[in-house]
Amino acid sequence: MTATEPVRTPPDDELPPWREPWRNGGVVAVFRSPRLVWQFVRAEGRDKYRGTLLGGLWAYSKPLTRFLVYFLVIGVLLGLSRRVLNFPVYIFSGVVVLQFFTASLTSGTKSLAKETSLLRRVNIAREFIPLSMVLANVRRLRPAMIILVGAALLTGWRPRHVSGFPEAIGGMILLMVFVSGLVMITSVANMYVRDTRYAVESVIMVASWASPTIYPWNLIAERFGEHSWISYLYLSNPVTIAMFGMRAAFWEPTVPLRPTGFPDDPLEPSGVLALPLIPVLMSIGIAVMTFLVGVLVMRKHQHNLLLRTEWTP
Amino acid sequence: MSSVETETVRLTKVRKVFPHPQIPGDGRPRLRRQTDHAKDTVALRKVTLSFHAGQGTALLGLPEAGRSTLLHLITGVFRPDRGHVLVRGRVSGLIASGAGFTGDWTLRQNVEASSILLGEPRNRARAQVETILDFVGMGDRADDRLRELGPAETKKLAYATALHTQPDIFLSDDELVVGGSELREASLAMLAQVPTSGRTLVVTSNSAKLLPELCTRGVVMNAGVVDFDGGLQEALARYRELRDEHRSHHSPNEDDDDDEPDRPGPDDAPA
Repeated sequence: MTATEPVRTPPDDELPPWREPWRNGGVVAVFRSPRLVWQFVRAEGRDKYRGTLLGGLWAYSKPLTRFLVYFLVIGVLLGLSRRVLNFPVYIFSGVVVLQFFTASLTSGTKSLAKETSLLRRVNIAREFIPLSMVLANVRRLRPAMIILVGAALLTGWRPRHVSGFPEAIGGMILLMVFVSGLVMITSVANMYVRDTRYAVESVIMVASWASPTIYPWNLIAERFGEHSWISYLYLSNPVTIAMFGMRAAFWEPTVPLRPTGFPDDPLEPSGVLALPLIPVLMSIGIAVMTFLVGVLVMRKHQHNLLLRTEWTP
Repeated sequence: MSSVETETVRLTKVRKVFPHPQIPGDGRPRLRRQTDHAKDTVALRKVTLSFHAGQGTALLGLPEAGRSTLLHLITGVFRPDRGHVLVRGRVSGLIASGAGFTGDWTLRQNVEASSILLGEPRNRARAQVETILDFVGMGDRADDRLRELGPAETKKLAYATALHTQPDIFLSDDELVVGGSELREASLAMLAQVPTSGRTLVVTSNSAKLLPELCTRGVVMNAGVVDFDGGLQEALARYRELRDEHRSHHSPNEDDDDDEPDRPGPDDAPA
């Protein structure tokens, strides 16, 4: 370019208004750009099993192994399968939920630290990264859901049994809101102290026993009383609610109506709707609050994240 | 230059400090709020600058003069500690090359995804894929996986993707041109089109060879402040002064230039 060349400069009123470049829309931007979210979801875990002989079949192995171990040890050895009818489907519907929760939480916690090179380059809303990780894990549920539906079909579930679906879908949405809030908090914390991801792994160990994955809820009810505050606290866990929902959809239709579904335990409620209302409302409150706290944490810290690492431009 | 200059980027008394890293490479992170600020890096102190549509501006300076921080404030990756940064229009360019590249994806998918992350509208990102791949001579490899490329080729592709973005404000914090002489020519021509088409161009470079083709204005930064702001040739002269001063204090072999060898040769004398 030489100084004499004519330049077409846009007149003042043709240009967009002034804006502060660091403002990136935050969590609102995520909801406004579903296609960009989809781009992140697709980028995550593509070709995860590259170079393996069995390839995508490995996606089935983790839920299947977990299921087999629980079934043999808890069901057969400890005798719980005599206590709960159609125990395989009962535990597997819990395992599906638990797997989604633990996988989302672990991968979501690491997500921001993994993507620092992207964060250094473009100022997209940071929320995209942990939130799309949660969605990527919804997508990864497919193998486990196929196994679950297969097992339910073998034991008497039929496609016309859809009355529990709203509970299952509602429960999973509740869990997604909850875990999205959690990963927004833990992924930011992980940028400050990398101990977070190890702490999260320990918490997950506890969490997997704090919901009725492999034992029926009425063990808690029997021990502490159905309407005690401990029981309510236990029930207000969104993971627990999601499990009840999943069971309403796939397990209940396979067993005779309660109370006979549990020969010894008339207390076991069937589905979320049979639970006391207070803990269900509490779990919704917990999920929404966690999400809001996550949004605030992200908003407060998103421009400090890079300053905590060794990098300056 | 047009007689009326339209301001598109405005920095007012901008200050940016980088705290001493909380997670140093080896040590343990410190939890307590930092009270000792002696180790903080003050990258910019009270910088007031404007950039204009239809103008190419070179940011010259030694390493750590604050040029890169300045550009990252304009892209919004950082927020100023004090002062204001305002922009009009979309910001992108050779500052985010390679954003969103995924080894498992094909070249086509990578170019498209990266363009979108760099802010290109989706339909334009899709339409540009072939042009970009042809630009670096990889048109026949569109369906190869990115991981099959060597590092030099990956870099070239990332560069071309960023070069083909059409933001209102085009920034460059990387090498201005890469690859062989043919590609360099073509790249330079594309960069030169940014100001002539009425958009804003800001590049960090010290290259006396390349800059006259792109910029009419030069801003010399030194230790976080604007040291000189004016014509490009004067700015280049001021930069050389600074560099020689710096070299006389340090070992003479120390290489502090980020671009081409920038002694003006016979062919890059000012027009």
